[in-house]
Amino acid sequence: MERDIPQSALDIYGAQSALEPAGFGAAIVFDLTFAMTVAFGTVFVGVMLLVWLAWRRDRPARHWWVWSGGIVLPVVSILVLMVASTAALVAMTRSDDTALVVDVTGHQFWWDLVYDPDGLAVRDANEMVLPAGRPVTLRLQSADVIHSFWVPSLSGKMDMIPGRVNTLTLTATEPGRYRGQCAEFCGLSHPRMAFEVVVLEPAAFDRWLIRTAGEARDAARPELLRGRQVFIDYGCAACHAVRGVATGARLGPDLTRVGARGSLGAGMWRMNQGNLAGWIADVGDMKPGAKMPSYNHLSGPDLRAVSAWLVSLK
Amino acid sequence: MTDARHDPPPAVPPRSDAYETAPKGARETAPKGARDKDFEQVWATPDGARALSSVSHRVVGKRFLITGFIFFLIAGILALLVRLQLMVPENTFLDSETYNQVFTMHGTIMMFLFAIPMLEGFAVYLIPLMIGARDLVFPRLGAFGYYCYLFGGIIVLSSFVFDAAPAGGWFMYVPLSTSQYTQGLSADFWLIGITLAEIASVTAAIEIIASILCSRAPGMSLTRMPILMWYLLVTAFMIAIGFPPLIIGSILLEAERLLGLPFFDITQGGDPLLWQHLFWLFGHPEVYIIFLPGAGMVATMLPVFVGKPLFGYGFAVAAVVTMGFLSFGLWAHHMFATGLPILSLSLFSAASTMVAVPTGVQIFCFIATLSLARPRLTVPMYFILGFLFIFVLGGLTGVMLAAVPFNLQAHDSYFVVAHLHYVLIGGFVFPMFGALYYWVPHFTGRMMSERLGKWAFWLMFSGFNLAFFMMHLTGLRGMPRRIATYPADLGWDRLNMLSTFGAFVLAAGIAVFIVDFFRHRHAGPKAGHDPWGAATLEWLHTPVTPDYNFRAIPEIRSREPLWDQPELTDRPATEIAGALRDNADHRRETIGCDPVTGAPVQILRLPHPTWFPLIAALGLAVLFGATLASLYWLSGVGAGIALAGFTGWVWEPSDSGAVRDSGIRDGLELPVNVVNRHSHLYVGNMAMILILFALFASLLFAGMYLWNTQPLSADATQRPARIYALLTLGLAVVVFTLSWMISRSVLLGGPLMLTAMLNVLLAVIVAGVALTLTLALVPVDPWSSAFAAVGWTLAAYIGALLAVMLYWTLFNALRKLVGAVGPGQGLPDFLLGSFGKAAAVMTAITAAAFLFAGTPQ
Amino acid sequence: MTALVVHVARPITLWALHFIAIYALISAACAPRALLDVQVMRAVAGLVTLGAGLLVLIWLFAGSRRLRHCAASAPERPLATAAVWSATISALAILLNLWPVAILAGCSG
Repeated sequence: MERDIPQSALDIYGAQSALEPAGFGAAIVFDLTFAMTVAFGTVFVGVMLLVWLAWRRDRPARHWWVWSGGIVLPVVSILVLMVASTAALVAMTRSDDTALVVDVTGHQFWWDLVYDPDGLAVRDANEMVLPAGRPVTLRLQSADVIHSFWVPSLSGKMDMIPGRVNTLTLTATEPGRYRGQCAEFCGLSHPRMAFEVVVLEPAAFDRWLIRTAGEARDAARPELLRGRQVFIDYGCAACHAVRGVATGARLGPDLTRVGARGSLGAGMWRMNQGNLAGWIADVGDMKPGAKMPSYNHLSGPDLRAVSAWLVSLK
Repeated sequence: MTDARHDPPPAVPPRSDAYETAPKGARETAPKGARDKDFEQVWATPDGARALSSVSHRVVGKRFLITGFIFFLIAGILALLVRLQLMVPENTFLDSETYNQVFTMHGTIMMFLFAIPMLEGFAVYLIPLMIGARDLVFPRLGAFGYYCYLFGGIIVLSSFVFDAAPAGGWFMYVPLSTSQYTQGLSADFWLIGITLAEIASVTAAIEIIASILCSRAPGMSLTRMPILMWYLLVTAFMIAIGFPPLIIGSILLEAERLLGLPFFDITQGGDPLLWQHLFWLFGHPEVYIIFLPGAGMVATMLPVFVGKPLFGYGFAVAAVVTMGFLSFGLWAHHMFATGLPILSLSLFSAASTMVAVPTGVQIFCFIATLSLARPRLTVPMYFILGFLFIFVLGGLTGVMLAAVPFNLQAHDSYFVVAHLHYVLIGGFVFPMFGALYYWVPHFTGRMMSERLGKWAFWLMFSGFNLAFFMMHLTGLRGMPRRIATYPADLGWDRLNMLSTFGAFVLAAGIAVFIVDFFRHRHAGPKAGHDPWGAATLEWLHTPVTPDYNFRAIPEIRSREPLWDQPELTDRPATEIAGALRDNADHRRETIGCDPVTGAPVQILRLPHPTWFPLIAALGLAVLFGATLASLYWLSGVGAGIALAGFTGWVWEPSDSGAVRDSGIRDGLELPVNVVNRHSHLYVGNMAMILILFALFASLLFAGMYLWNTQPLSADATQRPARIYALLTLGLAVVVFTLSWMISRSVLLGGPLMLTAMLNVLLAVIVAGVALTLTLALVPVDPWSSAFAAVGWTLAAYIGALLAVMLYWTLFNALRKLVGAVGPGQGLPDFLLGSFGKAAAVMTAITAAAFLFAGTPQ
Repeated sequence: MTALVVHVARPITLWALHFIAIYALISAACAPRALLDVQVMRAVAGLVTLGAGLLVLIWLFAGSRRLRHCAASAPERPLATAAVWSATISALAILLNLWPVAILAGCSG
C-alpha cells in the first residue's frame, strides 16, 4: 500500500518546497509565482535599463516618463495582478461540502489530529495521511498560542489561533511523503514543530482509515508485552492514548500507530527504536520546552522494552 | 566670483571628489565686532559636562545619529550571530532560548532603537539648516525626546544583563507574550523600554511639524522649501497617527501582564487578533516612516550630483503625500493567513498593490532627474544607485506578496525576510550611508575618503545581495522564519551558507565605513565651501557651520537658493543681509512664518541651555524602570521627579506682548511669540492633539473590534451606570464651553482676573467629570470581560487627559496669581482652550459609548 | 496658495474616509456580529464609491483646468501639479477599494 512512498520525508529534497507542488493549491500558486517572477523580473530589468539610459543621456526628461512609469505601468500591472490573484484565491479557497474533514489542533509543540470528527472520529498525531485527488477540509485550531499549518508542497498556510476555527481546503494530487512545519513563532521549540503528510491513493487511504480506527496492533510477540506493561506502570497513559490499551487521555499525542510514523518528535527525527528510546529518556534535551517530562529514571531493559513495543505499534 | 554651476555641463565630467580647497580668506574671514561676539555668546554651546544641558538642534541631532548608529552596530552583531547559527543545519552554536532572544532583539533594536532615531537625528539636524532657522522651535522637547530614547534603549539592552532579554519576536504576538506563556520579565523589558523610547518619536513628530510649518526663512513658501522638508513633514504626520496604535497595544499587553486584564484572553471574550490589528496598524506605516526620509535624502542628494533641480517637484509632493495616507490602509496584509474573510483579504490586497503607484512616481522622478545632465559618480551617488537597485527589487517582491495566494505560501518564510531587508536596507540604510558621506563634512569639516568609500559601497552592495537574494529562494523552498535551526538535505543548506557568507561581506563594508570615519577625523582633507556644489541653505557656511546657523536670516526666493541667489554666495556668510542680525534682548531667536506662504509673522524666541528636559526624562526613566522592577514606591518618586522637571520647564516668563524690529527690509516690526493661530506653540499643540485623538481612536477601535467580533461576550458585559454616564456627557459639554471661553478671553484681550476665574471653575468641573466617569464604571468589573477591560482603559485614558487639564488650568491660575503674567501673554490659556475642547470631545464620545455599551444586569 | 494645499490634501483625505467606510462595511457584514446583510453592504459600498468617485473626478477636472491656466513659472505651480496628481492617485485608489466588494459575491469569496 505504501510502495514507492519513502519511509520518511526527512532528508528528502523538495519534500517541503513550494517550488515542487504536489497539491492543487500549491500548483496554482506555483504558476502565479512563475508568472509574477517573469513579469516583475522584466519590469526590474527594464527599470535598471532606464536608469542606465538616463545616466548616459544628456537631454532633459519628459513628463510622460513619470506619467507612464509612475502611473500607467503600475496600474496596468495592478489590474492584471488583481484579476489573476483573485481568481487564484477563489479557486484555492473554494470549499467542498463532500470533503473529508480533519480537525487539526496545534499545541506547543505537536499536532493533534482527528479524522472525520463527526463520524469515525479517528484520533492520531503528528503525521497526517491524506487521499490523493480528493479535497480535504482541515479545521485548524489551537490549544495554546498561535501556530500555523504549512505544507508548502501541497498548499498555502493557515494560522491556528486560539478561539477560532480556521478552515483550509487542501487537495493533494501526487501520492508521496511531504513535510510541513509550524510557520508562526510559537515559543522555544518552534523550530522543532514539524509534521509529515503521507498521500495515498484513495482506495489505499480508505483502507488505512478503517484500519487505524480500530485498536492498536502491536506485532503480537510475547517479548513486547513487557514494554506494554512498562507503558502502563509508568503512567504514560495519563497523557497518551493507545486505542485498546489506554484510552481517554488527550494531553499528549495519540500513540495508537506511533511506530508507523516516519518521524518522531513532530517531524524531527527518524522513527526507530533507538531514537524513541532517546526521546523517552531525555525529551527535555532533544526538544526544550516540550511538556513531556524526561523519563531518565527508567532502567535500561525497561526503556528498551517500551521503545520496542511502541515502535511495533502500526 | 562667477558661479560655475550654471554654465553648460563640461565636456569632461569634473573630478568626482568635487570639493575645492578654496584659499582661506576668500569666504569666511570677516571682521568680528563686539556685537558679533555677544551674538556668539548667546548661541554658544556649553562645554564639558554642562553640554548635557544643551538643547541646540545640532547637538541633539548628532546625539541621535551617534546613539542610533551604535544601536545599529549592536543589532548588526546580533544579526551576524543569527547567520552563524544558521550557517549549517542542526547547528548548536546558539541554543534555542538564546537564538530566540537574539533574533527578537535584532529586530527590536533595528526597528525602534536604530531606524527611527537615526531618521530623527537627520531631521533634527537638517531641518533648521535647510529652512533658514537658527534652531528647531521646541529645542527642549527634542532634548527631552533624546534622553527618553537613550534611557528606554538602555532599559531594553539591560535585559541581556538580567538574562531576561525578550524572546517573543519583535512583534510580540499574543497569546505567546501574555503572562501565561511568557513568564518572567522579558516581555516587560520590551514593553516598558520600547514605550519609553517611543516618546522620542512622538515628540520628534510634534517638533518636525511645528518647525517646518512655522519657522522657515522669509519668502520660503511651501513650494520653495526643499523636497526633504515635504518628506519629513509627511513622515511626522505619519508618526503622529501611526505610533499611537502601538502605544495603546503595548499598554494593553502590559496591563494584561501586570494586572491580568483579559484583552486577549479568548475565555473572557478577548481576541489574540486584536493585538495583531493594533500592532500592524502601527507596523505598516512604520516601515514607510522609515522609507520616506531615506527617499527624501536621495531626492536631496541626487539633484546635486546631476547639477540640476529635481525633476517633477510637484509630482513628488503629490506622491509623498498620497503615499503617507495610503500606507495606513495596508496593515492587514501582514495577517493574510489568520483566517480573515476573503473579502477583507482582497481589500487589503488591492490597497497594498495601489501603493506601488506613488512609489513608482517618486522612482521615476529620480530617474528623470538623472537624465537632465551627466551625473557625477561620487561616493554618495554610489549609494543612491545602490538604493535604486535594491529598493526597486524589494518593492517588486512586495507587490508579489500583495497577491494573497502567493502570500499564503511566502508569509512567515524566508521570502519575507528577503523582501523586508531589501526594502529597509535598500530604502533606508543605503541612502543613510550616502547621506552620512554627504553630510559628514558638515558635521566635522572634513571629507571622508573616496577610495575607502567605494570599497565600503561595493562590499556592502555585493554582501547584501549575496546574503539576501538567496533568501527569496530559501523561503520558496519551504524554510520558515524565526527557526533556530533546520534539518539537513531539504534544499536549504547551501543557500544558508551563502547567505551567511554574504552577511559577513556586508559587515566588512560597514567596518570599512567605520574605519574611514575615525580616520577622517584627523586625516581627511578639509572640506571647502559647499564641497558638493549643493543648492540648499545648510551649506551656506564654510566648512563647519557656527552654533547659530545663520548670522542673519536671508530672504529666500528660490528652491535652490545657493544656485539662484548670488547674494548668498558672493560674500562671507556672516555678512549676508537678512533678519535678526541685531540681538538687543540677548536672547536666542529665529523668524516665525506663515505656514503656507512663508511670510514672516513673528519673532520666535528659543530656549537657552537648560537641565529640565534631562531631569524630566530621568524622572520618567525611574518611573518606567521601577515599574518594571515592581518597586512601585520608586515609580512614584520617578513620577514626582518628572513632574518637577516639567514644571520647571514650563514655568518661565512669557516673551509675548513685545514688538521688535526684525531687521527685514524697511524696518519691518514683528511681534514676539504671537498669541494666535500663527504661533508655533499653537501648531505644536495641534500636533499633540492629533496624537491624543489617534490614541483615543485606537482605544475606540479596540472596543468596536471586540464588540463586533466577540458579540456574545460584549453583550454580556455589564453596562456602566447610565445616570453617571449622562452626567459625564453633560459636564463634558460644560468643559468644552469653558475651554472655548478661555480661548476667546485671551484672543479678545479679556481681563486676567476673568481668565483666572475660568481656570479655577474649569478645574472644579474637570474634577467633577473624573468623579462621574469613575462612578459610571463602578458597576463594571474590568476582569469580567475583554470588552469591560477596554471600557475601563478608555476611562483611564480620559482620566489621564483630565489630570493633565487639571494641572494645566491650576498652573495657569497660579501664574496669574503670583503676577507672572502680563497683558498679551495669554498663550498658555489659549493653548489650554484647544486642549480642553479636544479632551471634552473625547470625554463626550466615551460617555456616549458608555450609555449604550453592554447590557444592564 | 493655501487653497491649493487643501486641493492637494482633500482627494487623498476622501480616499481615507472611503477606505474607512469600506472597511467598516465589510467588518459589519462579515464579522461574527453580522450587523449587515452582505448584499445590502455591497449596495451601500457601491453608492458610497459612486459618491466619492464623482467628487474626486470633479476635483480632478477642476484641478486640471486650474493647472492649464497656471503660468509655468508661477510660484504655486508645483502645488497645482500636485493637486492634479493627488486627485489622480486618489481616484485610482478609491476605485481599487471597491474591487473586492465588486468582484466577490460574499464574505468568503
